[in-house]
Amino acid sequence: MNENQTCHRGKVAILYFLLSIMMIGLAGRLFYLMVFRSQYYSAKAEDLHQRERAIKAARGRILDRNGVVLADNRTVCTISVIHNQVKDPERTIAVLCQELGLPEETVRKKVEKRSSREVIASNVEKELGDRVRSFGLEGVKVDEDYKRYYPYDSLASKVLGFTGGDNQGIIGLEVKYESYLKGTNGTILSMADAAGVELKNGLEERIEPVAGNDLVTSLDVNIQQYAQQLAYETMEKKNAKGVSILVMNPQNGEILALVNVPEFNLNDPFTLDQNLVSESARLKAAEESIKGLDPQERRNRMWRNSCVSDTYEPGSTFKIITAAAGLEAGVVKLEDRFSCPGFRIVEDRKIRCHKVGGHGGENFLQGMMNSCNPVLIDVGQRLGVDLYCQYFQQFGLKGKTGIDIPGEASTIMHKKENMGPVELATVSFGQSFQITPVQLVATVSSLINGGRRVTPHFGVKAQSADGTWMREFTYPLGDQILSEETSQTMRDILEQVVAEGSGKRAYLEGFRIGGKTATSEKLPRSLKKYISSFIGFAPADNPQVIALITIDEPEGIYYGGTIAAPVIADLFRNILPILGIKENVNSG
Amino acid sequence: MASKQRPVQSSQKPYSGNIRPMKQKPGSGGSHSMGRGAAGSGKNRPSGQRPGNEGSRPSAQKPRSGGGSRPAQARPGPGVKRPVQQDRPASIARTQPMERERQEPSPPQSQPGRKMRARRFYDYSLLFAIIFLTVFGLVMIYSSSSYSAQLKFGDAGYFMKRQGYIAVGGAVLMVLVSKINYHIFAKFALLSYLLSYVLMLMVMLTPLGVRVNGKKRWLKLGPLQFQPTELVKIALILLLAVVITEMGVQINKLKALGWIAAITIPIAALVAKNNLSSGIIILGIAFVMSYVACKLQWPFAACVAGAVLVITFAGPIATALEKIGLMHSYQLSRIHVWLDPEAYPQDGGYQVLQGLYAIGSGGLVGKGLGESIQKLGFVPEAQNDMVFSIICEELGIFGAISVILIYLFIIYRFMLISSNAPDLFGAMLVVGVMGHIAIQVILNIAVVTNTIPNTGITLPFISYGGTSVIFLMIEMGMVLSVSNQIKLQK
Repeated sequence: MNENQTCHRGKVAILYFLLSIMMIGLAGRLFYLMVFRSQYYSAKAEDLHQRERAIKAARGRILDRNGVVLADNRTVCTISVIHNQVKDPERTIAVLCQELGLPEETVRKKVEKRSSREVIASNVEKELGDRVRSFGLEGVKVDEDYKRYYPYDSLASKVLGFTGGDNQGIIGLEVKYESYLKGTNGTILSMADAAGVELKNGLEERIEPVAGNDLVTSLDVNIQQYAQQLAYETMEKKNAKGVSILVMNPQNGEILALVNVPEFNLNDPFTLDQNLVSESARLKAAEESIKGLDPQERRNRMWRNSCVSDTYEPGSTFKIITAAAGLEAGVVKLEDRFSCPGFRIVEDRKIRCHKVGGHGGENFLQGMMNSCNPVLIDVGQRLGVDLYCQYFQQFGLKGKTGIDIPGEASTIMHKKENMGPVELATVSFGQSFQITPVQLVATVSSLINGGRRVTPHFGVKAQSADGTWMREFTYPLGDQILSEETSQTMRDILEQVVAEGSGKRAYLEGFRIGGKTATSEKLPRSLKKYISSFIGFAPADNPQVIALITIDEPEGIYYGGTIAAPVIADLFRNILPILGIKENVNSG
Repeated sequence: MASKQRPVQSSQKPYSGNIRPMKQKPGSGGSHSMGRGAAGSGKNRPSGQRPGNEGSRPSAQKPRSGGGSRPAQARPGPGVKRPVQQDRPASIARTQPMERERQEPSPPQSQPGRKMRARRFYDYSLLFAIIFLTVFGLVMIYSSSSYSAQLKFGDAGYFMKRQGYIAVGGAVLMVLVSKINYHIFAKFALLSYLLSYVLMLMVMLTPLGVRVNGKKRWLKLGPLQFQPTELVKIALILLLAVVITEMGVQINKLKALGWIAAITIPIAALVAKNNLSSGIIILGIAFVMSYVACKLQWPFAACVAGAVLVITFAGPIATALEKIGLMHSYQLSRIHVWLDPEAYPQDGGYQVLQGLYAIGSGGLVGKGLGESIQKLGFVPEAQNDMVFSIICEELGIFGAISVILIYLFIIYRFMLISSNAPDLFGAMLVVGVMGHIAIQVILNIAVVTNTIPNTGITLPFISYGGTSVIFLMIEMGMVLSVSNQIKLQK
């Protein structure tokens, strides 16, 4: 027995030895896991524990050319409760009701709801948020947030655009310059348990947000405001559906103002039917609403920048292009004689002039001053389809202008091979094809500024708020699309149009103004709806500003020369001094 | 023990050649580790190792090897007093290997008389190690469960308190049991073994069996609810100890091993039906006990070799077993999860993976007590099987290895008590408990570190679980009772 027992001792010792080896082996495994694999597993665990909360970066502001803020950020607060951190529910409810002016029932329901976080109120003014915070209620969180704020409400609404819930641009410049404006969101990394509840004394890591860059635009608040005022007045007076005014520097394409009334309030972009100052606009809105049009579709229409996204038949203003092409090609000279019997027969079609009796005998300059259709038809016919299309392309009318807001529409033009003399004739005086107003302005600018194609634009530069970083946007002048001489001739012709021709209502004492009127019939022609427009520039000898007004479906007198030209005169009277264009006593 | 080193000694001879070759190798290896470990306590082993080191040593061998077998109380008096012994604190003293010639129920009437002359040993270091671990366990249960307890019961201390009450009760029970002469337990061996059959069958077949988390493991008797598997373990240890003692020399025959297997395997299979891990532990206990008792070695070596093979080719084997219907598909998926836990982050791998995250994020020094994040709902039931991962996370590698060291110490005390037990029955009893604790600790840590496939094994003394604590305490009481029968020599 003793022998047996001594044997046991040995075996027990061996057993202990083996067990120890196993335990040491496990300790080794632990060592491996906890030292060599520690980083790997820690990172994985951290991934699991960390909750990321974004700190919104302040979005860059949008400024006008003089540094006036058009789009800003306002600090707003979101007030929420975290159920299991609330210590004194009754007091919490009482304070929140009193401060936020909410009914007790709603607040109670939210405070007593077992959820990780319940938002009580969002977009609360900062002062109110600070006041709630000062009560020091446990479980009540006041989170600060930025909200886009537009100090001028509806001013240039369709240009600036607005931002959505994540502070992302939705339309306009806010979208186009998103990458500059956006900034980089920061994050608060905090630890949370499996249910996602943040740990009270968990370490918080903070990555500070980087604010977005400011965008300096070429807009001028004063011009924009004045243009908007005129547009509303015109819209109301003529009971129009809409009026747009585009003011641009023809030398470099900087847009000084772009008004599309009715505008909408950028601080409240989702409310329909804003600023309907005319009866016809209200009727149209009511009609859409009765027809049961999808509200989102109606909003999209409201947000639409018609100068950029909608095309129209430019009508007589397009005669500038035909004239420039004719003069450049040498098929016509100012003194060439034409006769207007009130119509012109092209192939089997009789195309009327706006003056039923005809203008009789006239030279080319007079034809332009009278805005005589047969004269321009003749010029077009002299050019022929090939040459006309070549100039159409050369002047940059085929493509888009490249304006820096999204949604630009393309020109709708006949295909060259489908163009016969009739089509050519109608195109010559601005019918049967469509371009955008901004395309017209850009092209006319290029024709009168010495012949260099310009790119219409708003963005001038992006700069950091503290001025340490800046990037200027350059829009180099395009090709020479017209000779300097022809450009000079065009300026003279258009000055004559205003001085003595159809655009004389745009004449402004003391200034040399050039321009061209237009009255385009909307399709279908049977409706007898018109778009009246006038494009004018000043000073005529050295254009510094060009403006186009389009009046959509005016009632009563609808001639562009009668209703559109005076608006531009009025506009110029007020903005030329701002632009530093001196009154020229001699030329008056 | 020392006699092993000295094959020349005449007393070895009767046991002839079949013992010697076996003893040669493992004996020397074993006694090395043991000799070192015991250097402070059992003095005669170092002397065996290095004969001639001290003049007095060889003389000590004599009473050990030769006289030790004498039933007489052989008080080796002067020869035993060693210089080594003096600097050793009062742990296991030079103990007299009591050889009681198979008279398990030692005559109680002789006790008082001896008590006068020989102080009896009581393993306080073991007792304190157990108390320390249990209290540490309570702290860790509180740390790992307070979050979920607060959520579920509104009382962060819910699990800790429950465990605390049971642990206090268990501790009292342990002390009581430790004061009983362990030979009395032998009388209940067969009874408890049969009782465990009855209870296991009751769990499986009667409505008294309670299903928790989809596993029918609990028995509800009136207000009491417990897991009979814990009883099975202790009953089996008792019965095997009795059987092995009864067999005497016969144990060295293969047939004896067959008997042991016949006792163990049916109950283990019954347990494994609903609780595979407990079945494995029960098999492991029987394996360890028979390994210690039996001089044959090849059957055990074969078993180990087989197990290693199975583990190496676990994937294919499991697939094959599942195909022929011997394995549940959930068990197969566990094996796949084990091989690549990150491929199953949501299904089976979730618990293991979360445990690994906890362990890995502990690093060298841990996050500090109470600072674990994984316990906040990530590691499911962190106070149970996975508590070790929370220990790792909070206390780091230092804490984790300290815990392992405490277990090693406890097992080391078991070894000493077993080696010095007055008789074979006591020795085997302690070996059984030692096997039980060691297997559970090793398997638990292995599961938590994804060294073996996931299976629900609790960490003794630390994991939450009332039944387990009570029965563990009873087992500890039994071990202490064996230690209490060791006579200290004056």
